[in-house]
Amino acid sequence: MLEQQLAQYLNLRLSASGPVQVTGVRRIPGGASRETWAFDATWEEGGRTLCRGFILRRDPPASVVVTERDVEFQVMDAAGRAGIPVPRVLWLEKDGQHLERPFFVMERIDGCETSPQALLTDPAYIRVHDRIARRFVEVLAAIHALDWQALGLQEVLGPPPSPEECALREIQKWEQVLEREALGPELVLRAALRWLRRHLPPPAQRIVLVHSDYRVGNFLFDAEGEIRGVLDWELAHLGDPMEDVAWACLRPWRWAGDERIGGIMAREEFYRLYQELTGLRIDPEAVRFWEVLGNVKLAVITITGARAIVQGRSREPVLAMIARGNSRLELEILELMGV
Amino acid sequence: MRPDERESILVVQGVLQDLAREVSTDYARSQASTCLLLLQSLLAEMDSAVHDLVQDVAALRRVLADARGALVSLPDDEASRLAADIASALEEAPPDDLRLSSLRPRRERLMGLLERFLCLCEDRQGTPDAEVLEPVRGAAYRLLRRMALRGWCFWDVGSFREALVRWRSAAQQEGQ
Repeated sequence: MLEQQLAQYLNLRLSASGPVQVTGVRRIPGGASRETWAFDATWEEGGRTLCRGFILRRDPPASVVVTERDVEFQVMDAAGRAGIPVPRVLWLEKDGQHLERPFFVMERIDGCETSPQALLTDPAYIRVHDRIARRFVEVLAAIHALDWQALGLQEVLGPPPSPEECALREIQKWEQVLEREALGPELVLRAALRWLRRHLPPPAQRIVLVHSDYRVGNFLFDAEGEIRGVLDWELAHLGDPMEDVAWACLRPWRWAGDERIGGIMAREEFYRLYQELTGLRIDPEAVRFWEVLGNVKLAVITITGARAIVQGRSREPVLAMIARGNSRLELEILELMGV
Repeated sequence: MRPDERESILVVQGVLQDLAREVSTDYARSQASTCLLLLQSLLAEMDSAVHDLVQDVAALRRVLADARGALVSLPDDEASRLAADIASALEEAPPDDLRLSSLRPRRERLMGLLERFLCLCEDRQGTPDAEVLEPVRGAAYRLLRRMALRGWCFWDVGSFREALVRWRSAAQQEGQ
């Protein structure tokens, strides 16, 4: 069914001289916010037979985050044009005319991994840990150096906050989601939001494009240690670069079970390299603020998923699983708050 | 009755494991694995669920009684209203209906009151009231920590990091 729908759709989008053949349609595990499908397409064009791999990102019936696919599409497009490694986005469909729900299609980058498990346990990747760690910081620095005005991102993401407003704006954003989605008392989260208001960080040193989910596990890497594609841009916004720095440091992404960032590098090294590349100064207290907010945000996202399950809008087991694990996030929040 | 709940869930988990080996796509295998973990989380909590809820209700009542004591010494309406609501909740007898469907709403109600208390404490940090509230605030956070410690984390159990920690620990012991 999906195979036929995709073939019909690609017939409209590609300059094919005959019918497009779609094969190998398969759903990619993971990704709680959108359905991700991989497929291959073969078609005739200009007297040649072309075969390409594609990725379909389709809105699910229910999601853990309310995000705008248009934003993700346009930010990825802009970042790609500016030289950031991202899969090339191709077509955006804002209604369900073709595949029942809105979606976009992007190129598939083959020969890569995203899995932290592979990164930390496969000898092919263990040998390039240092290179991947360095690229991880370099790509983040490059994202934060993007000229978002020149790229037209202000039209996509809305007016930027002033440097003083960044933190408060993010607190308000996630507070509103919590108020809308909470299924019961959320003591730790509501107390943490108040703590955050009392511990606002210094104004942002620079307003940058914040990826908002930049971490080990959200990029494609190869066996040469190159980062080939940064993924999951759906929460991107303009704000304080320290938000991304702290998010990358969150405990849930410390995949090796120790203190190393993403399971691959010491925090001191991460800070040193980031500061060297960006010229920005990392204030550990500011990072602590953003780590508390990051954990709150993550917990709120899981609550959104829990509500979808409880209301019968989703049967995704991963949403139920993730939401049942909130207590460790709460423990981390309390630890960071020092209470 | 045998098999009991735990043993029955183990049967379902076994079937899911068999099915996961039969399916051909990564997505289906991943879904089966996640369902296995979901069942594992139920197994981990099932045996102690009633005990934990009863303990929580008792601990919450103790902290809220102290919170009420602190609140009545504050002169404002918000504190007085919360103290009155807490007093009303504490008038309820300790639970004798031990069904989960009965215990959970009781715990939720007490948690809701503690939430109001904690928010009030956080709002008054840096004011003279904070000194009065601080001992109970500290006790409330300690209780929340104990509750959170009992929980588990998808990112640990659902990932390989626990295995990595075990391997590293084993390697260190071998090295010694």
